[in-house]
Amino acid sequence: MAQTISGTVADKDGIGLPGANVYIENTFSGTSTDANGHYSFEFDKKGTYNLIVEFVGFEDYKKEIQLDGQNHQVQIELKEKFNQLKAVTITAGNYGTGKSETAVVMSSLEMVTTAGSLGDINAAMRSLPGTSNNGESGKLFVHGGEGTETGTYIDGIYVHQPYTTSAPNMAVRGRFNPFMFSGTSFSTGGYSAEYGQALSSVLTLNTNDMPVEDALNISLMTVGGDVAGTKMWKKGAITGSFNYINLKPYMQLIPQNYEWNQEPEAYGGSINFRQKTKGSGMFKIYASMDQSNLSQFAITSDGSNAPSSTDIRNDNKFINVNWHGSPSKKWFTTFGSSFTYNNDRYTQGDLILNQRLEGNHIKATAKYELTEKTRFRMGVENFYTDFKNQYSQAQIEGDSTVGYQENLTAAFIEAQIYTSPKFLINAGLRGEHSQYLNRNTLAPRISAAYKLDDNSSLSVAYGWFYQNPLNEHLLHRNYLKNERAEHYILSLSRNVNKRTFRTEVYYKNYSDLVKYGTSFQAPYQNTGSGFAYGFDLYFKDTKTIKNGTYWVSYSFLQSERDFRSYPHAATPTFAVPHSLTVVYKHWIGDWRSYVGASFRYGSPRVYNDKNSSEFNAAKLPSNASLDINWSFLYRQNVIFYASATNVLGFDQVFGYRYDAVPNSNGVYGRTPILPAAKSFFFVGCFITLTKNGETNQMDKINM
Amino acid sequence: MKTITLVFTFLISFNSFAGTPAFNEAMKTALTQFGQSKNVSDFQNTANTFQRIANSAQNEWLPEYYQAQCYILMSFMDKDAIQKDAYLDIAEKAINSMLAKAPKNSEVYAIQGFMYTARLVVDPVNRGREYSILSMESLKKSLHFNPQNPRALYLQLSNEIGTAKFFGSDVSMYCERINTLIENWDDYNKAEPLYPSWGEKQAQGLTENCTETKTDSIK
Repeated sequence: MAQTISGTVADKDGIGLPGANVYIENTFSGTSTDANGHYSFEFDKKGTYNLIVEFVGFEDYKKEIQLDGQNHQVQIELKEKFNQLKAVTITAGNYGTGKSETAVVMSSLEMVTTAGSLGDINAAMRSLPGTSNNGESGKLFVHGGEGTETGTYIDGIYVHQPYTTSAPNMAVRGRFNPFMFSGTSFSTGGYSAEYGQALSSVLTLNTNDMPVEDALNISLMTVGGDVAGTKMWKKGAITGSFNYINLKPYMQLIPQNYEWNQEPEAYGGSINFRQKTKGSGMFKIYASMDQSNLSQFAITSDGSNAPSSTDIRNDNKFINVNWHGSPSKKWFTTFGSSFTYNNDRYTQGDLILNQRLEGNHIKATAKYELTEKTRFRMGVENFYTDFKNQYSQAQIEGDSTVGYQENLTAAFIEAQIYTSPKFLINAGLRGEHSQYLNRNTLAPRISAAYKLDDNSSLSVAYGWFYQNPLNEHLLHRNYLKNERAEHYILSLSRNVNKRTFRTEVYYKNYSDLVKYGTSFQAPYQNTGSGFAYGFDLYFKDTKTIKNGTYWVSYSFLQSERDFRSYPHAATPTFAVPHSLTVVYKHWIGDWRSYVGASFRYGSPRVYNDKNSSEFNAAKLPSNASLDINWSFLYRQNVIFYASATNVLGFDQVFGYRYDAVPNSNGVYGRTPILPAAKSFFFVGCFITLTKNGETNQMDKINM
Repeated sequence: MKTITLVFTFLISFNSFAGTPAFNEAMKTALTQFGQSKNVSDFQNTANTFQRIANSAQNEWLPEYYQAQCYILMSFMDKDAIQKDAYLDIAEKAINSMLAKAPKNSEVYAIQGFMYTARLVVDPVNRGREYSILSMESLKKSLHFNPQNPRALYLQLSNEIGTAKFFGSDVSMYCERINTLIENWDDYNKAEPLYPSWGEKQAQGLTENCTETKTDSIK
């Protein structure tokens, strides 16, 4: 006679689990639990058997039972599987993007469809909270930090020159195409001990793994064009690209604020090689070569053009080699190196300034997974910098060259521990030794997150951050110290039903900043200091409006610094007290079009009026821009894209440049720092040719 | 020696069920249960049944086929993205196990194509390109092993019609092909007992509003 095996399957809180599979190992005998988690089935054999229970999201259960013909009762408690996707993540200072992260904020497609970003990663990132728009720079200014305080890393490797070269006081762009990357994360502070040489923020870009098919991409734009071809083989792929940009036709058509002797012209090429290696390893090489030329007339304080133009020629070569792999199940290792050659040559009349930067970064890291809840990361690295400033004048024989060479060696270790799916702590330590400055630093970093409920989490981050002074400060001055910042961040994140809300409160303390001294023997000293505090709000909603997505970012900032030439502590000119960005995107199915608009506002910044006795007390007008864009999928493989910035024609002034000497009335004349033109218009056509013609460059839009 | 004998008896006991009348009976009952399943919990119970059959008949691919199909359908019904992927993880595991024992089976590649489409549906914006290519590749393989597999033909046409409609291209060619497919369904469909035979109803559903021009949202 068959015996009955019955009982209840429940979770750790005693709540019955319906639909669990309960059976005797290697037999068909068993059943599924009912709505209350009860089960009951008959089994007709005697002896020792294993009772198995399986259920999605829980760990498998196995129990040996002795069957002697009597009915059997087995109460079972299943343990929830540790799922990192469901576990808490640290949101303090962290705006992760890319598909592997849960805190998805922006994909590469989202970047290019954000109006006003014009395909520039940094511009797209400036639509997120914690940043401000500093139109004269184009770099990422984060939580009261300057653009130079943000470090850029590709696959964990430092990029010495992440920006293009532009005319003085004109916005630069990021050198890299957003579509090169599958994951982009941008930190507002408190970042991992893995990253050094950044006082305020790191922009970490992870390159794509394998492309999906052979393709030839052709882009035709009002400002130039590019061609990229991808060839795949079984375990690897190579992409080669060439681009040419010339703004001359455009700038002759649209009125510009400045007169150009030669409008910006650039060409370059890149090669991207990927090869899968043993196990889940991957080897990547990215190499690029670019050259750009421009020549612009500065405007003088009386409104006329400067007598001679400023000619700028930039040569840039960059190579990034990277390997990651998993030598065993518990170990994950990376090894990478980058080399940068960047030369900027400025010519004005008979003066020539040549700035040459050669940089190398080499780094090895290892991650060890002790258990799925405990991980260690460690690494060693060396940053090499060779910077030269060469200055020459036609009448004077020879030239004067100053330069410095630096080897900065660093090591870091970090532990990531989940005490439960609800609590995560991340603690790390970073040590650096600067050969040029002959100094050591030790930087602790710690962050933690607690899950308040299924949708909300609270996290905190604290850390010390060091960065070498700027190249121009370091020339011949190896007595300087590393500049230092301390971050305190508290962040609350709530995610419900495709709506995300984030708020972050922070305090930052700067010390050892370079300040210009009065004595000739020590013109620069590390006596500067400063602070920044504020909060950010972020709300993103992809749910309320059908086919529409919008987000709102607001940042409040209070900051003072006493550094460089400042006579005393004052609000720095780059600090924007209130920044607001509203982005909206809408998919119009009938038109096969993705349209978007974004509005950016920055409240008045201070500037120093040389004719006033009060330092940094004058205020610029506020800064606003409404940008729009439109992507039209003409065919599966043909996209038309059009965008325009500042369509309402708001006046934009980013600052004033004062004359070095006062005029006959004893007043210093000034020139406003303006954008190249009030608005920028862009039209492009992107064509993708593949074997089966099923894809396009806005690959991800076509579902 | 003792161990070897033990392992041997073990193997026999694993597979003793396969192909037996008891196996056929269990499969028939499970398929009836499948036919009556309407919601996630029904399909979960059905999937459990197929899994138990699979465990006790480890050289058979059919129980895993239906187990995978249950989890794919469940992924369409559940709202939570993490849960959808958890279901599809199980479906993918079952499909990989099937591929190991039936590497030239057209039906296995067809369900693999279906699974990739389900992966895509979880997050179309981010997965669109990768998974539409993977799905089409699997269906191509399926049709390589059996050019008349009606399920692979249906899934392929369904993908093609979706894309054509999205781009506002002419779908009439595909509509004709789907009509031809339905006309020939019984000839194409292998009449072997217990074999997959689904798809005709879904294909008919596709013809009903085939020529209607409707554009899908990207969400």
